[in-house]
Amino acid sequence: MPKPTGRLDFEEPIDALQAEIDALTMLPRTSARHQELQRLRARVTTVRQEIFASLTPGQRVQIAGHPDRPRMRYYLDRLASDFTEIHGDRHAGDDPALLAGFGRVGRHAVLLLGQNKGQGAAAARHRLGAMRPEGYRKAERALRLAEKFGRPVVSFVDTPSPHPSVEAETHGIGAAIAATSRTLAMLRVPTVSVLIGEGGGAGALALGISDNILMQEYATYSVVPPETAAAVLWQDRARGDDATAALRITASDLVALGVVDQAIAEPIGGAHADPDHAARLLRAALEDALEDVEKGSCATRVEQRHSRFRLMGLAGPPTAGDAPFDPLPGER
Amino acid sequence: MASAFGTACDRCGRDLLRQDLDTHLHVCPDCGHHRRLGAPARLRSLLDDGAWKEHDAELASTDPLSFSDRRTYTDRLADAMAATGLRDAAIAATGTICGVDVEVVAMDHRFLGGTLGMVIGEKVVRTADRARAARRPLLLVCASSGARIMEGALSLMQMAKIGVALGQLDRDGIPHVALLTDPTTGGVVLGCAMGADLILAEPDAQIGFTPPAAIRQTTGHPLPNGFQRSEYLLDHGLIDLVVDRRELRGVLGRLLGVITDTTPAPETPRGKPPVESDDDRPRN
Repeated sequence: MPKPTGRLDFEEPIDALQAEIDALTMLPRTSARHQELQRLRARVTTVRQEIFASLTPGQRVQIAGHPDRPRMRYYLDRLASDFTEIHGDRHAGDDPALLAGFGRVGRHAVLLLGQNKGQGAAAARHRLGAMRPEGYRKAERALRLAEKFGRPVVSFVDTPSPHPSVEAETHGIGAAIAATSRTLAMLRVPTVSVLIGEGGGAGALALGISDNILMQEYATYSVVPPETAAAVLWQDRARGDDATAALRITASDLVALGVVDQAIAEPIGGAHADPDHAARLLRAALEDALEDVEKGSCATRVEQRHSRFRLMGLAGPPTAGDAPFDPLPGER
Repeated sequence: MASAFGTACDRCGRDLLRQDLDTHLHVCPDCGHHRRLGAPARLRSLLDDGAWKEHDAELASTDPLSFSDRRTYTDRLADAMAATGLRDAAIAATGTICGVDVEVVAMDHRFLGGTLGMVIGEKVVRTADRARAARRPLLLVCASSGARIMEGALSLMQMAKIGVALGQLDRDGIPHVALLTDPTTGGVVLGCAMGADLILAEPDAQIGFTPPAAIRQTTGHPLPNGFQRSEYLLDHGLIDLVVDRRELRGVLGRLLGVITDTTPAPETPRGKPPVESDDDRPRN
């Protein structure tokens, strides 16, 4: 297990027990030591269960942004094979916050793309998943390639927001996000999205307009950061907990609202407590989802995707629907 | 402030007489400052004879999260309705601009900051569908400070919903023109506005994704002059035109006439009745 780099306040009782365990393992092996270790390990499990059974909304937000939370790269290494990364938007640059490439998930040959926050020293280079316009343009380019090659798409969503910078604005972050989200929404190939950490606003949604939308148990998905909502509506940044609860940004909330199709369980204590286990759970859910979305023709799939988003919020009379789509390579 | 004389220009302080405001469409005749227009005044300023057919006027938010902060969302909605006479922050309309048929959605900043929620989402989608069915251009007039926070993720999902409708419009070859007015800010709004085929803006409008304060806080550097203003966006290739409000109807009529290859009516004097001041009504 990776060494903790920045623990959360409410995890302190676990850290204290862990420190005791570490100290004990340095002692000579005796049966007394063995018993004590077993007792402490059982205690860690109990304490972790207790803490995670009664998390406040604010604590859930902290878990979604936990420094040790596994990133897209971690999951990619464990659930994809034959992966080849691709780079660059062919215009201005290559954004490390957006990772994309072709590979296999189980028996499915797919495009994988998403925000990769980076771990430890790499986090700064990846800007914690805050993408620039060139990242969205790289994503759009990758999506068009997936369609051309007839490959399904798996997207990972993990971003606090687009990069807050003069460059991002000046190089057209709004236009890049508009283009990427439209391309994804109109894509003829099957699409699956999974929210693995922070789902922050329009920058997250641009990679999340899919046939099947999955969300890890402790990920969040919100139109604005809760502290922004607290500042704007409560006019008090300290009311973040209230804002978080009112915004309903957890996986179970979003499944209930119909925004997310399925919540994926995480190990007790969150994905960072047992990343390998989290990766296995994620892989199983992704393979099922891919199996599911690959059924049926591209016309039905796109039609279903469009009517699903059409029904979010207020729903009107039936619409003109879609004109027929050209079949995909290999279809008919 | 409103007075017997009308009001004073926010930028240069000149007294603006009520009749001047009407003649100049709420643009200061001295300094050119564009005062904000509500949706009814906007439509009167753009559409022939100042007239249009409204659609879906009955749509109102259902408060999907039963949201409450210091006040309940339903209270905030009721106040905004009373103050503006609107049911939400946009009007959907069919009209003509210099004789060219057009489907329009005009946002209204007076209604909860013009924030984009389920009502605007539904109105844009239905208007885009009407444009597609009638093969008429779609004009989106933006005046919005961002997402409707009180509708949570459903507000965010409106960007996806609008994106799909605009994608279908695009596939069917229907022109989509956006007019950005002060303010057009926030990711959800820009995620809809910046996808247009042609983008026009009024002078000196604030148009941006991340609030300038947040950028300054992150980078610690001062922002460039004119940052996130219409002219800055034009200079950086992000929009097509910056047009004075008093010329907008003519410019739009000519442009829409050519791209749809219809012969526009000669530009007639602007529609009656004159544009009233939406700005003088109470804001919320």
